[in-house]
Amino acid sequence: MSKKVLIVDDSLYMRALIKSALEKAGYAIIGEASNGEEALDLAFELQPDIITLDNVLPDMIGLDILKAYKEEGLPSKIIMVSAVAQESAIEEAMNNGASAYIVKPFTPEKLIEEAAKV
Amino acid sequence: METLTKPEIDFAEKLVRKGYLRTANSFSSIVMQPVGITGVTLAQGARLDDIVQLIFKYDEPIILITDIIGDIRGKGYLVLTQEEGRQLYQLCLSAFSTTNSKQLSEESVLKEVDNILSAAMIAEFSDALGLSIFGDVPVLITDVQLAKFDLGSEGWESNSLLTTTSFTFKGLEKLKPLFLWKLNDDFLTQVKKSAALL
Repeated sequence: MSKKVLIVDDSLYMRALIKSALEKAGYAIIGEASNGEEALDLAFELQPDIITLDNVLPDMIGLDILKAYKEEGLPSKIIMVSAVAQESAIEEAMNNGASAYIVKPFTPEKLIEEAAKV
Repeated sequence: METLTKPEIDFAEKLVRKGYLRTANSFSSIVMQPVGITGVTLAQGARLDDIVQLIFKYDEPIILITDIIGDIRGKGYLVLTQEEGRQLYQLCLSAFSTTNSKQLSEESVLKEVDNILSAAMIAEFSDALGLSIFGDVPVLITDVQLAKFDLGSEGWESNSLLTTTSFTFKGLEKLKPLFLWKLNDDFLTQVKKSAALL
């Protein structure tokens, strides 16, 4: 059975890229969120296996969403997919429960590789 | 108000050059072809007129603006002509060959390109100066009056640092997006601190 994925990114372009790459690799995209509020609602409603999470959204910071997921015990694996490339930001996300951190721009292969690992 | 000495300006110039190279590297990954930079400039005491002249040399510019959020203030501008915007949009779509590319607006693609490029520049500043900063969600402006209002609402009387470069694409001589950053006093303070440690 395909793993279920929720994509969180404010960019339609980026959501399309992630969706295209993961669908080709056999993942089922069950939802897309373009802001933090949707990211929280959809994650708890859909209970995906994997969430790809951007770090800067119009209404929230990805790190705060990540912390909220973990505090509420959401079992989904979180792959941060963000242009924020500072070592400190990557470290903070990993320390707060992210399973992987992919810096934009990325190749489809890199995304598929990380999704397969989590 | 901070004023940089010659060694501090040299430090700042090296820093922004590294940032632009990192950005060009990111750009290259987006469009899947080599991207370079040309004509790096850096000047202290940037005035509103300087930036207006740079941005509004085109009739209908596409201006993507990213605010720095966090320990320091500053703004990045990616400036393209309408034709450059179209070219870049096509390059991005062809590089990734997304299945649903027809639904993607030029604005959506250009904003994400700016988001990635600005983040690379900000990451260089952050790593080099030990700052907690990141880029806000980009804004795209094509209305010249609105863009001038946005620019004019800033603290242009301060001792801002203005730095510019243009990206170059092999075989596409007419595609030369302008990338410029206005960095405020608190950036200069950090440059002074970091340069003093050398």
